[in-house]
Amino acid sequence: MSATLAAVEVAGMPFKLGTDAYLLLSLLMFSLGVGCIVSRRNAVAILMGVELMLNAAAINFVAFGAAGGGLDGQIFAVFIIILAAAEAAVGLAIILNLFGLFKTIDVDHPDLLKG
Amino acid sequence: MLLEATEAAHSATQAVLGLPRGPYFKMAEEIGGHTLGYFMPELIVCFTLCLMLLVDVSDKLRSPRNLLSLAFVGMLAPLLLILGKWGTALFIYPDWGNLAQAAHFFKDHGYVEVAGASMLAFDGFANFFKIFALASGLITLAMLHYDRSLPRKSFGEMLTLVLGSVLGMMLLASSTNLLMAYLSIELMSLASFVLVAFKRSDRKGTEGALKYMLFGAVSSGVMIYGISLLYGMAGTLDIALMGQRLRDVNDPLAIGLALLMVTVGFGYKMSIAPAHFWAPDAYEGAPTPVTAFLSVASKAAGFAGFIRFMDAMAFQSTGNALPIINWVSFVAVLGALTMTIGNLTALWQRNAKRMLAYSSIAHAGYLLIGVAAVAVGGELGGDSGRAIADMGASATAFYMIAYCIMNFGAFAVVMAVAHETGSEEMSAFDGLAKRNMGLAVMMTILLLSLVGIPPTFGFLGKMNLFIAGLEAAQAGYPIMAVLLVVAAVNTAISCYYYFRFLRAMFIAPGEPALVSRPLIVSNTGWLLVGGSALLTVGLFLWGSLFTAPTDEATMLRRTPAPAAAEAQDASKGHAGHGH
Repeated sequence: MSATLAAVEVAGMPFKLGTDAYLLLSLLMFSLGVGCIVSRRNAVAILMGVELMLNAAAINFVAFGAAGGGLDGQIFAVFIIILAAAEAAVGLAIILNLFGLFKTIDVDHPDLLKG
Repeated sequence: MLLEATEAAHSATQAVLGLPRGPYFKMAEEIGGHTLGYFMPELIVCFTLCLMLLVDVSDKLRSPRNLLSLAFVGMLAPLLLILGKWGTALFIYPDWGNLAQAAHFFKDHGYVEVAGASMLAFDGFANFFKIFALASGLITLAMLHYDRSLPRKSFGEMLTLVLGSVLGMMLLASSTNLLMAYLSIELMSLASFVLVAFKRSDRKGTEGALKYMLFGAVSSGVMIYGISLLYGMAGTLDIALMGQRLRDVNDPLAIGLALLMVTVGFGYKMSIAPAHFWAPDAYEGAPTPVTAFLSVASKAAGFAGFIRFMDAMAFQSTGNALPIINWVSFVAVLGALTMTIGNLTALWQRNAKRMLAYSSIAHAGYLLIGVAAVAVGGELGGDSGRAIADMGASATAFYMIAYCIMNFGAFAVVMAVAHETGSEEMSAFDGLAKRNMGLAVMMTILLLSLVGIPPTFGFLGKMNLFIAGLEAAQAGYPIMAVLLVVAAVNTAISCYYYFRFLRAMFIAPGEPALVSRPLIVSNTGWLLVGGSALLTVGLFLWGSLFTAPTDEATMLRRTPAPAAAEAQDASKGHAGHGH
């Protein structure tokens, strides 16, 4: 199987999008996710950053799978989607409870545990 | 008659030990016609989990007593099932120092087919960690029963989550596929996030859960990205095949980065530095039974997953290997860092649970000595490498048993004290000896075991780790010797904060009003505290009095010269103790 994933025509010329392009996209998403986690103090924003990281991995899996890895990659991507939903559900439940107790979702604010 | 029985048992053991398709495996296939039989323990836990949800809905049935009994049966049955399958090794070699080796950790996996793919291995290694997860789950049940501060109304949900977490640990112990490993890690993580946050009105618990959850989500995101890169380079998710194929990939930077990212995910579960920041907060905030469960079972599962992963990756590094990560130095440095950070930070803690949390981080560091020995064995390759890897894995497993017993016991004492005083601070221990001498003595035994001082099981465990480390150091890895020195210094440091408990209990005067009132411990409390303290001493006595000669022969084995080792290995074959 060739490494090309999609063939489109750009200005009459065949333009082939290789795995590299997808890797670049996923790297960009992953970096944005990490940036979001590092820079934001809002718990929901951090969860969103994690979501970006997970989806970056999912893009990788689909791209590598299509480039010759078989079905494993696609299956993994489906599982990532399910897991991201589960993680968001549990995470948001905890954040909601936190908001009820501390009236904030700033991760630096609750500081009962120290040492 | 007796001879026949012994012979049958022996052939079964042989199959477990060595032969891939021995009589034992054939028997299992003939009975079932398929390999689903191997999966029965997990299926039982899964079934119990579903049943628990149903029972919890019915107003008539959902008494805490019923729910506890259900969870108890649901974990005891698979435990007995695994022991029954694996137990022959126990009876033929009733030698604890060698128990893990008798099961021959990494040899010949029996596979179960899941949708046509082999994702789960059923070897001694997996069985050990499954037994470990189930046993810790059972002890946790007793602790949940003992903890009066938990909301009895939502007992069913709590037990369901414990069962789910245990199921995740069991699956992680056998998974040989990164998809399976990742899913199992998430299963146990998601369940334990909720367990930490279980007391909804507790501000500390919620804060701890938030930090635990955020760290967990980030580390799982990093881990899965690493897995995706490894998948891209190897084209498979099977770790053994991946290890082989990665040898042909000439891109050390990408491989190193990807392996590092996957290690972050495991490191988070093992709570090793620098991925340990969540641990003290989550451990202090969580209800005490959950703290004990996380610090023992969850950590052990992380180690199981990591050892299997690293074993597959490192064993391929003989020859033209993955040069970017030197697993031995990597694990040794992580170990030294983890134990030092854990012990030094524990020195100035005022909260007993938080102190034990840092102590558990330090213990993760000690356990890494065994893991480093596995890495050494992997690099050496060949039969002698296998022997060292097995020794490292068995020492890790052995120390885990000791750690499980003493840690659950210590947390049970903290619970007993907190029930009466309402405080988990160190000051609550002041004058404990005057209030309840028995409890103070039990705690002393458990603390001695945590330090690793002789009349306790913790000493045997630590000794085994040091022997495995020494063996690895003698095989030409000086960094292992450095690691052992660091561990020895750390043990000395740890004396200070463990003995702070002793000073508080026996020397500190305590508040006169409190000290005059005896501290009452319920039956379950005594069962937990007394049971673990007695086991700590009893297993030491059994281990040192009855199995010392064999230990001498197998555990303290000096590494012979390579030629001699080869000759010896050839003459011995693969029966017997594994060397």
